[in-house]
Parts: sequence; structure tokens; C-alpha cells
Amino acid sequence: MTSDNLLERLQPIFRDVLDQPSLTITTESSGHNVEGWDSLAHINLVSAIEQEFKIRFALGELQDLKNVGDMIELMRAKIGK
Amino acid sequence: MLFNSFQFIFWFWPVVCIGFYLLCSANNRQGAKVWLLMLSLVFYGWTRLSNLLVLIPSILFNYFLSRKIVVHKDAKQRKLYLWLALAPNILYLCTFKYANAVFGTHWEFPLGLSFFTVTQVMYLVDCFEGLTPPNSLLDHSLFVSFFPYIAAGPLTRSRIIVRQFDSAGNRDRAADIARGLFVFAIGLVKKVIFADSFRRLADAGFLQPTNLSTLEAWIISVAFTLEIYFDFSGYSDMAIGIALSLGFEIPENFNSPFRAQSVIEFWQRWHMTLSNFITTYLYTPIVRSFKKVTLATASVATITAMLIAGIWHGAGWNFAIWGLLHGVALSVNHYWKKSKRRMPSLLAWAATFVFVNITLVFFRAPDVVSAVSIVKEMIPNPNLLSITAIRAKVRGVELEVMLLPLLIGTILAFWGKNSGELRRTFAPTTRSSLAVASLILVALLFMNSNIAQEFVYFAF
Repeated sequence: MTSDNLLERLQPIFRDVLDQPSLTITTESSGHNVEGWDSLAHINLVSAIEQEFKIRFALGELQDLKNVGDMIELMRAKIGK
Repeated sequence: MLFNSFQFIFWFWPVVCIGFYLLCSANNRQGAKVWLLMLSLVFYGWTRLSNLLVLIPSILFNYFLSRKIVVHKDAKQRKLYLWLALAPNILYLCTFKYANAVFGTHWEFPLGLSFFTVTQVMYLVDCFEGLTPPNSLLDHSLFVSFFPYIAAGPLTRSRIIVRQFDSAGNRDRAADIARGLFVFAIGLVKKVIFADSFRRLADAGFLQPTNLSTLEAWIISVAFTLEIYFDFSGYSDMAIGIALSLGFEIPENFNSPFRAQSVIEFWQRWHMTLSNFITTYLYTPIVRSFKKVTLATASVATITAMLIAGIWHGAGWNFAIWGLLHGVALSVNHYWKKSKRRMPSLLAWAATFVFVNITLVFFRAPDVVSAVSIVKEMIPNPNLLSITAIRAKVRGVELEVMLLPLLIGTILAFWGKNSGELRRTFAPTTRSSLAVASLILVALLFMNSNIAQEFVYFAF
């Protein structure tokens, strides 16, 4: 599972959770530059990603998911297992 | 020991650095860590030796329990040990925090207990989730008691700092010391010049909060807001600078909070390490415990989490109210965002600042009654613009001396670059070294003329 692959699969999740059908995220996307991505949206995003990819993020990992790039890196490590 | 004291600046800090770097150069990593630990314990026990009797049991207990947690592979048993570990920590904190209120005693609150309880809670949960192996006794002791952050944070996670124990002190030491001094100087000036000036103004008003004009009520409210900002962010800067001078990176705590245009944004800029802890370890588990994550369940989680954050600060109803107000405001903020309504940014900024001010009145006032009376006086009333009450309470000469720091402080708080931004663009040049030297000199002059004031956050 490559990073680009994962980024592609994350697009519909972000669009759905943030309710922005025209949103396109990049690895640089974060709570600072994406409208509506606050703590509440973050929880929903994490849940949706966990369900879609059948992985689990630890509480202590949530702080490290600062941007999409970090998320993808962590996801790759988990999906690989 | 205070960072803003001559003994810290002129003997403790140099001694720590010299000893640490000598031991690193001799490739004695173990010795370097023991050195830091010993001096951290000296630092911690300096003002009251008995504080060590509170710190050391906490370190030992959590060291042993964290090992018990990871030994068990069965999920149920692991969880059991996690709670067996967490409960005493929380009880320990609550006992010291609320004993006085409940039993009418007058015990002094042990320095840093609120903070090193939180950092160890995060460590225990990390161990439980398998994110970190349990610390060795030396690593754990140093992680908990590390003197830059033990007194009042920034709350630093074990896995962020422990790996640095084995690697710090080996990169460009001159650059680290230069940058560390720079950040420390900023913090020192914030604390000794600005915070102390605003404190005098705020104290004058809060001591006798009746019969204030609208203007005066606002002046003392804003004065306290700026006092606590300069005090706490100044302390955090000093902590970060000292850690940096030893080659350690610890997290930032503030990011120009008065630029915030919403309460949600405010908490992304104020006491960031606490806010991260609340979001990750309180809010998230609470919200996930509901079947469905909706705005309503998120609001319950937010209000609960902020209420806990409020009473974490102290046993008074005023702290609970402070927490509750912020919890409600955050929830309202989320509903507003969902509704996609828009507010002009100036109005949003003003509303946020006014709200923060009002809640801080509850934080500062000795009780709820006086807090309410001050907030009432902040509403425009017939006694609008008089400043006679304040003038009477702050003696003439003092006010003149304070005026310049008050003015400069206000401008910097709203429009200046913050210490994090300054740190990132810092370069050791002749100009910047003269600037740092001047800052420290002026701060020392101010320090010499006042008895060193403790930090507001030492009380929590």
C-alpha cells in the first residue's frame, strides 16, 4: 500500500466527514489549513479511518496525527502488520 | 528555586550545564543522566525539602506499576493494572489539592504535583497501549523530575524526552546555548518586567473589587489576563530555553493566544500542552464511550473535560465555574461552526477576548461573589470612566514606573511576534547577542529592585 494509494483512499473519507464534496487533501493538509478540521471532526475522521482500514489508533497516537502526511505514515505501519 | 533568581541564573544553571557537558564529552552518558537527576532533585527540594517526600514515592510507585502493566498480555488484566496504577495517582493529587478545602487544614501544596501527576498518567496510558517500553528507574526518575519542567510544565511526554536523555548534548552546543539563552531572556523579561507590572495593577483592583468604574473593572480584568499570560508564557519560555541550553527540546505552551478568533482557536494557542492532554486523554475517551459521536455527545464530553480541567486548578467553585464556562463556550462554538454562519473577524476576535477576560475574572477573584461583582461592574454603568479607585490603590510613584512596561507589554501581547516565532528565526549575530545581553541586564535590574515573585502557576 503506497502513500499515494492511501491518500487517494482518504479523499472520500475527508470529504464525507468534513462535509465538503469538493475538498482535496494533500500530505500537507492539517487542522491549520483545512476548514472545519477541529477536535470534533478529528475524532470522526479517526473513527472513519479505523473502520475503513481495519486498524486502531492508540490514544497516545492521536496527538501525533498533526497532518495527513503523519497519518499516512502511521497508517502504513499499522496496515503492514 | 525560581528561574528568576540570582542563585539560579548565576550558579545553578551554569553548574548544571558545565557538569552535563563535561560528562557528555567524557562519553559518560549514565553519569550525565545521574548528574541531571541529582541536580533536579536539589532544584525541587530547594525551597522545601519535604516536597521530595511527595515526589519520590510518586516516581517509585509509577515505575513499578508501569512494569506490572506491560507484563500482562491479557487485555482485561492489563486494563486492571492500568486502573490500579491510575487511581492512586489521581487520589494522591486530589488529596493534596482538596484536603484544605474539605478538612480546613492549611497544608502547602507540593510544587509541581499537578504536573508530574499528569505526565505520569500519560506515561502509564502509553505503556498500556504499547507505545513505549517501561522506563528504567534512572530514566523514569529523570523524566518525572527534570528541573526545567517539573514546577509547572510544559507537560512533556515520556517518550518525547526519554529518548533525548541518551542523545542530547552531542550536537552544536554553542548554538543550543545561544538559542537557549535567547529564549530564556525573553521569558525572564516577560516575567520580571511585564507580568510583575500587570500583577501590581490587577492586585490593586482585585483586593477591593467594589465601587469600581466600568473602565477600572476592565483595566483590572485585562491586567490580570495579561499578567497571567506573561507570567505563565514567560515561565514556559524560561523552561524551554533552559532545556534547550542543555540540548533538549520540550514542547511549546503558547502561540499568541490573543490572536484567537474563537474559543476553539484560543485553546489551540493557550497552555497547549494541557489542552492536548485534555483533548487526548479526557475528551476523546469520553466522547468515544457514547454509541454515536454527535454534536450533543461531543458537547457533553467537552463540558465534562473542561470541568475537570477547571477543578484540576484548585478546590474553589470559581475554578469549576471557569471550566464550565469554557466547556459551554466550546460547545456553542462547535454548533456555530456546524451552522456555517459567519462572523466578521474583528467581532469574532473581540468576542473571544471579552469572553476570555470574563472567565479569568473567575479564575483570579478570591471567591465567586467578588467575581460576579467585578463582572457586573464591567457592564457599562453610570460610573463609567473614573480611575480614582485605582489611583488610590496604586501609589503615585509605582504607577509612573509601571506605565512604560504596561504599554509595551500590551502592544507585544497583541501585535508582537511570539517567542516560538522569534526562536525559529534566531541567529547568533553581534546584533542579537547585544539584544540578549541588554534584555538580561534590564531584567536583572528589575529583579534586583523587587523581591523575586513566585509564578502564578506554582499554586496549581
